[in-house]
Amino acid sequence: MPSVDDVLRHAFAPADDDWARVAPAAHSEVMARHRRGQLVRRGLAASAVAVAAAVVIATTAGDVQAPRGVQPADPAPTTVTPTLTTPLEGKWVSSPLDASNVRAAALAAGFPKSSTAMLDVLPRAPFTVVVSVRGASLSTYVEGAGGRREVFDQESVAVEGGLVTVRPFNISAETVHGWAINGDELTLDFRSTTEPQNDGVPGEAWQRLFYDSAAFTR
Amino acid sequence: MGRAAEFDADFSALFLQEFPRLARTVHHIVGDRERAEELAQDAFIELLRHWRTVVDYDRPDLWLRRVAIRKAQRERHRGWRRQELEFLAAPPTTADAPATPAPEVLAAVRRLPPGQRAVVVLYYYEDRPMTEIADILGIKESTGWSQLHTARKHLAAALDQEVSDAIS
Repeated sequence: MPSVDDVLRHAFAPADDDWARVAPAAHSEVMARHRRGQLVRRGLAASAVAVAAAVVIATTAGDVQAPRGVQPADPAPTTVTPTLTTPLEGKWVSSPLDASNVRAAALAAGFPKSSTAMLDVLPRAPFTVVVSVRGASLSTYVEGAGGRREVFDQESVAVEGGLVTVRPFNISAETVHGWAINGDELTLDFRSTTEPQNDGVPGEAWQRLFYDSAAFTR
Repeated sequence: MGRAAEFDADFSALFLQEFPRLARTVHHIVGDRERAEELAQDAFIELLRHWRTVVDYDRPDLWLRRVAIRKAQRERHRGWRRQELEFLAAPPTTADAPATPAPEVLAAVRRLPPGQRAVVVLYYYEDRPMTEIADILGIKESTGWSQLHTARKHLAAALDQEVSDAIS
């Protein structure tokens, strides 16, 4: 009878060439995820600097208006200003998108060749776009096969009439979409953007892909 | 070649060399092929973040395994209570994996506690000496041997095989 050691070595011995076959695609995905991580981190760092600057300004202003040692005779109870919500509040999930949606968005933005660069950094198709709106903040994730989520946009959001304006936290730009909610379905309709190109992909292509390619449901 | 290109070339070479075996090791530990690929990728992303430091190590492959296996073990520990009954009740799945002559052996390995399973996979599949296994898992070498002996006894009982004190 073979020993348990022999049995184990025999069980692990067969080659599994599938991992070698997927290695090049996995390598591309890792590089893309790393680049996206750097972009998001840079954005968050810029936001943190902005918040820190705002805190310094607010603190300084507070010092001027209320010198230390002077307390209100009858302090009012602490109140929290309610966060303004928009009709878009909540989590919205698109129907699955694929390479044809990426090509269509790039084409509509006038840069059909940019679809290759877009596909390089997107998770494997089919993927869904998840938009989470909380108060005046909007986060957009792309969820690929296997359930992995990648953050793509972190923006402020404001709704006025039939238009929604989003502004990235990390750059000075804004994008305007038309919007409509019908029952539980949200549709967005690209109008304009001042977002610049990034790695050869115009901001408009990303906006059209993420927000206009498919309707969202709650 | 510029520094960035050199960096890309070095990293790509290491990736293509190490990814298949690392992903398969993680697969044996977590039991799910797709999750194993994600965890292996996560480990390489950590490597990219620490590349400037790790590239100077004698054995960046050990660092990579330490990160990947710790991620895998954390996941198994976290999901242990919730998922284990369901995991054990399910027949060994081979639909997502190449044919193996001994699926029942791999299924028995996957029923081991996470620490023992990692030692078994690194010892029998990766064929690593216990000094390296201890280094990867952050345990004492004596603890590694102890876990291996315990795992062998469990596996011998599960597979109706002989086991001796001496590892052959």
